[in-house]
Amino acid sequence: MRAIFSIDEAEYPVFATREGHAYRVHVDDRSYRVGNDHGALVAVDGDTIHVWLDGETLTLRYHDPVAYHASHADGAAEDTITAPMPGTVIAVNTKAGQAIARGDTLLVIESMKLETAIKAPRDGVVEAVHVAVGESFDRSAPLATLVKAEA
Amino acid sequence: MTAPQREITPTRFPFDTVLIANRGEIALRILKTVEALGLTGAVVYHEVDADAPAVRAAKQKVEITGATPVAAYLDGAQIIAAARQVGAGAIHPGYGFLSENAGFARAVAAAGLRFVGPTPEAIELMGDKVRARAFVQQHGFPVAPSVIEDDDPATFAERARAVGFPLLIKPSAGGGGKGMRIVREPAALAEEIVRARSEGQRYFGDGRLYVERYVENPRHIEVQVLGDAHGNVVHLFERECSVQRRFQKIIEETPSPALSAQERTRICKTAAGIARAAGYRNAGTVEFIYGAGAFYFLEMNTRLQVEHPVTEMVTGIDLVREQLRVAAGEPLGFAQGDIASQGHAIECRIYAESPARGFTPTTGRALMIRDAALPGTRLDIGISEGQAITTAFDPMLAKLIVHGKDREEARQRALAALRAFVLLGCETNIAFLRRLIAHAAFRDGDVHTGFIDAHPEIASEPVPEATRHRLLAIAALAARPVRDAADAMPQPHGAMGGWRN
Repeated sequence: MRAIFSIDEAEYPVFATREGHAYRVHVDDRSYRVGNDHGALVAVDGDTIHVWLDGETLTLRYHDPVAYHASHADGAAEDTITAPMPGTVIAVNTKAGQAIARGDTLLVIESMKLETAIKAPRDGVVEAVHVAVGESFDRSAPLATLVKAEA
Repeated sequence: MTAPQREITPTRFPFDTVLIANRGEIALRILKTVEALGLTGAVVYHEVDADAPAVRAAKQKVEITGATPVAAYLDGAQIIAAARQVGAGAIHPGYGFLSENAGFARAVAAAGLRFVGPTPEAIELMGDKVRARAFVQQHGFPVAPSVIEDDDPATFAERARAVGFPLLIKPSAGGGGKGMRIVREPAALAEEIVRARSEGQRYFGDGRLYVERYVENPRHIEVQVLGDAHGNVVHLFERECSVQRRFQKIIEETPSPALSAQERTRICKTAAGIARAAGYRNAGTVEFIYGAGAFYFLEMNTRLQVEHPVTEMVTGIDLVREQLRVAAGEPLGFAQGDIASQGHAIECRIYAESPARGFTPTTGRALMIRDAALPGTRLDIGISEGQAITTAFDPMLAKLIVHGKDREEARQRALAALRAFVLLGCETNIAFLRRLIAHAAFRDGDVHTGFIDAHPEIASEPVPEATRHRLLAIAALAARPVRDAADAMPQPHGAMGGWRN
């Protein structure tokens, strides 16, 4: 089974084969020979792999193939508003059960000494707000969830 | 430093120990000079910085606490108590935090310690941007057309409109680009005033604003000054810091490629004149906006600047040493005519941020750091391997500073240093800095403070597809299951499965 690596939102199925003392790694429709002399530096932190070569750096996430295919069986919900960047919550302008219109300011966050308004992506009803004023969060953390829209 | 080091008469310091009230790269940089002078360096640190290089290197260290890590470094009373505890006779505030806090400077003096910086009066004068502008104008130096809210708050918006768009709203108590907003449309003015006031209130505890005409495509040029307690003031030439994102500097250099020899003399003399008028002592920087052959006073920073190393590189003068000598009551060891600028220096600020995502901060852990230590290159770094990188502090991790015999040699050295420096575990702006320095506009010295906004493609350019695949292939083999699966596959089959690229 091919392992899945992701770089940001892009996913790459990858598998490797032996080639003498080296390996051949198959990515998309190409393959690359990787020996011990590649000159790259690699640092691994759990499922996250950081690699550097000649001034360029990439961060990849390794997805266990079994877990990956299981989690992609049910359709991903688009109803959660996530943090565009790490930061701190300055104001929460909405609460669960509230009807909101597209463009309404749901929260105000602060990041990089700047205030940013987090706006509703569509009309709907707020199901939950996941953060409180003063709370810090990382990028992609869920901030609020809207009640699933009728199909 | 690449220009020959200037030797000066040895100083008898009236203190043995200097407490460094800062963190990161600047704490380590100050510590190095303190120790080189035969003094003892002590640092304060919040526990999240326990593994930081300065904390590891200092002979004495005192843990400080606070509601947040930043609050700990802003707690003057706790820091003065720490200085007493280690028997320090002076406190060096670095930049940011308490460095431009007149109340802290007074409290340090009241505790019988020396504040390594200007007088509280000079900090107050220059810290109030409105007063500072008025002061500079009164002394006959150039300032940009502006409107001050305090003059008549009821008509502020109306008077601002009369200055003409585009406008720049600034908090009166601000600095470092915080809370500044450009307004191009009259309709947006009211709302932007509300936002700027709210930011000013939160960052500086002061919601007062002023507005000035925004010079389109301006260049940011600043001049390093040094004064002593005996009335001597000199300048150490200019630095150009026009490559900015969100009003924060990314690349600084000296000399400025924009100035003619005459303009350079004029701007440097103006800066020294302003400092002299203010009775300024210690290190300071006078910032100017430059456009179409004219320059206006912007503000004066009453502290050591982040970008001070480029000045050190071309003059051979250790600015921290001079700060400590001035704080010890010594006269400056040189006159204006003794200071020369040799060659060209460039500094690149390495930030934990994602240029492709609008320069938003990134987090992680410094898993691997490699410094190639190339010729003419200096690395001022504030993190150790293994240290967490969080959003608790400013995202600047390190500074790469290079020196060359001319601008082109410095530029080539910057490119080589950025290609060789490795930081794994947290996304940084390193590849972006390289693209910036390689860009034709930067090569030609043709940049302004809006350059990065005008060229978003430099920030968003992805790793080239071929490199991306190559890196992916190498990284994939670091995943145990991928390697195990390859090793488990019988060799002949594996060999046949791999076709040549």
